[in-house]
Amino acid sequence: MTVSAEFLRKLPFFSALGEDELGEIAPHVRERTFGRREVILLEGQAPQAVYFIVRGQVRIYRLSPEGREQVLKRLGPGGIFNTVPLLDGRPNPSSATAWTEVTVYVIERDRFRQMLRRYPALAGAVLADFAAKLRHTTALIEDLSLRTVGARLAKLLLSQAAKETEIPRRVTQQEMAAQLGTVREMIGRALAELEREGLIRLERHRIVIVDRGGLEVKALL
Amino acid sequence: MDVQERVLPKINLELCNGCGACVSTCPSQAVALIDGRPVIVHPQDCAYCGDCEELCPEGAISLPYEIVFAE
Repeated sequence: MTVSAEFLRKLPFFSALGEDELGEIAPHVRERTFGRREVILLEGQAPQAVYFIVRGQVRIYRLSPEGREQVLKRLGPGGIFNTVPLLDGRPNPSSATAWTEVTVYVIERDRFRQMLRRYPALAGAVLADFAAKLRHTTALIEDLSLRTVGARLAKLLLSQAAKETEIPRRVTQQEMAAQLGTVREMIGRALAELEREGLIRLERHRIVIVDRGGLEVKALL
Repeated sequence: MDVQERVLPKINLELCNGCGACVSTCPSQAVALIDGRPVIVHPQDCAYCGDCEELCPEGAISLPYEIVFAE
């Protein structure tokens, strides 16, 4: 199903384009819907198209050699994915799955490349998206290379548990991430790692420090 | 059911835009939209998994954790 110029304009990537330009692009855009948990594209496949999210949430992930999913990003309405392989012609670097029911606008690879050459406003929006992704990746590399999240999280957990208040203060993973200058996904992974090491136990809404000494050593690393 | 088991995700209705993403993602169908607002209609089914918190585009849902030393 193709889409109308009116709907296309609602997406941030197309909002700077004029009436005539949208009218030219619209016939080349197909609308597709994916059910919850349905795979949209797979890592390693030849790139076929670029996807613009109209509705719903998409999970972008890679599989580790052990088959574990590593979530790289979650994208919502207005997000774009699969641009990198479209531009360098190499296989999809990651997989994408619909996390909720998802509606996307799809533009095929060759057509999209033509559009980038023809419509500078679209090329500018794609470059801005690349810049944002580069910033995100740089922050992630910093976290991973310095290996400090686990240590900083250990310190945070110890200081929270040591607070003697009548009503225990509760913190969300998002708040922990904000305090440590990282992203929520990193907190989830770091907590799971601490649990695997036998330092904490994750319960329904509690984080129980089971090896205080071990966690203190970890905090110094 | 003791007090500990009844702890549920917190929903900030001032931030909520009523999109229903939490309803569609909840693996245990514990949340539903009532008059356009999310309500945990089956609290006993909520597994505190965090999917709703991660998915909420407005950051309106939070799952706070209590951090304690083992007794």
